[in-house]
Amino acid sequence: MLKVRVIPLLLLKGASLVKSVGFTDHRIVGDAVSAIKVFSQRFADEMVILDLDAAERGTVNHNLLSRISEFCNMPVAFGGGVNTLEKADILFRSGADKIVVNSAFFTDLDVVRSVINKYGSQSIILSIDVRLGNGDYSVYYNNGNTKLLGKSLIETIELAEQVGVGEILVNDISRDGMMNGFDLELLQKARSLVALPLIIAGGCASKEDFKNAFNLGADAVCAGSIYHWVGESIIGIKNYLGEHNINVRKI
Amino acid sequence: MIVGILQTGHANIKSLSNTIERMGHEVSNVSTPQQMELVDKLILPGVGAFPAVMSELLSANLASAIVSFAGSKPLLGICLGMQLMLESSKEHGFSQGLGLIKGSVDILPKSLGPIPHVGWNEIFSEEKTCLMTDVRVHSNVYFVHSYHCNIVEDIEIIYTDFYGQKIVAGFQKENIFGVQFHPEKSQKVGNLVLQNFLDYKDA
Repeated sequence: MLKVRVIPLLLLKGASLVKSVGFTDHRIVGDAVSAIKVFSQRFADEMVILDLDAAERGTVNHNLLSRISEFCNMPVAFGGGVNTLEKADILFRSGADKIVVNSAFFTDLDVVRSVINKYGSQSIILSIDVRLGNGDYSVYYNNGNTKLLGKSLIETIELAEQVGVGEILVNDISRDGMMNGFDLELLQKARSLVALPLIIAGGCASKEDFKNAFNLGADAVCAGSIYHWVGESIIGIKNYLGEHNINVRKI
Repeated sequence: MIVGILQTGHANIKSLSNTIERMGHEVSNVSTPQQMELVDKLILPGVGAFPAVMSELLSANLASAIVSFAGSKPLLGICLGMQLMLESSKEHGFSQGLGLIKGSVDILPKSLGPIPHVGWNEIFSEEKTCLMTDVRVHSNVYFVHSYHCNIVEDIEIIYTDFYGQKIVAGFQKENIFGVQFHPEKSQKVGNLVLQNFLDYKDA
């Protein structure tokens, strides 16, 4: 049976690994390559790496990705600033197994379509960044800086499935780095709407949070702070999940 | 031994070639039929959509070269590389495959669970295929695919369980091997599977 996935979410600024709060207030938590080396030895199920400067810089950081793929023996999803097919080509050639798109989906959907045509649906994760306000969830893009107008969360998900992305990552800006647990209402809402594999991020602070998310139907959980600030280990989390009958890959 | 990895322009071969080099073999990137003649074993790697990659193989005269390579030397297809070995695929329409294995590539059954089938899942086989030597039954390996192989000939098959339905996770037909999962991304178990292919000697 297919296992749920425990995925470290790693944010890059230059060659540094950073941690954010509410998509801003980035603090350096280490050197990217050495941190990723550690995660790759600790039996994470996959890694999601987002290059936060890429859009501003206008280029993708394929040198760093190439260095990572030299030692990384687990799947890597890489995102940040992928707004042309050529940039996707460079990332796949540099060792990405999947790419994560966000802004391109809202500003140039044809780019997403062309990536799907060339690499297949399974190679692309759409990150839908949401913020709770006035009792409803709004979708944001451009590193959480621009509110999507004229399309609701439901319509965004419907469009994603119609276009044929492979997985949906629902990233809760309001809880990013807050370590106050997942917004379980958001998770339930997303699960009821998304037929694709669903990854969630934003707020994870404890082993219980992983358990709650998986029990509500998440296929994968992304977390960053719990590893950087709490010092929780992937093995510890997986053992806990296994003891609570969650279908996790044991080591 | 020289292990060839087919270059298709779509493939992510870095981690694959690094893994094989760590196992002590020379890796050669193959993008022409002439280069293919110089390698002892060949791997067709895994990223891309079926029609896009197949048309590339045809226009570079690689499709017929792979078929004749498979007539005498060991060949391993990974993920899409394995699917290409079948007769046809329904990904983005209909396209012909290499026809080394009888069967077709179809979309996974949508009614059973989310597609793509992505993540770690268990592999098992009824026969003793040499790819599974020393691999514990129900070991977990990494899958990421929306299409799967419907094989209609009697060859040795490795399975995984897709929400209650057995689907093909790999096969062996004499010197022709395929795996739907990514051994290069499957940590220790994946290394073992790759090692088994590299250790394979024609009977």
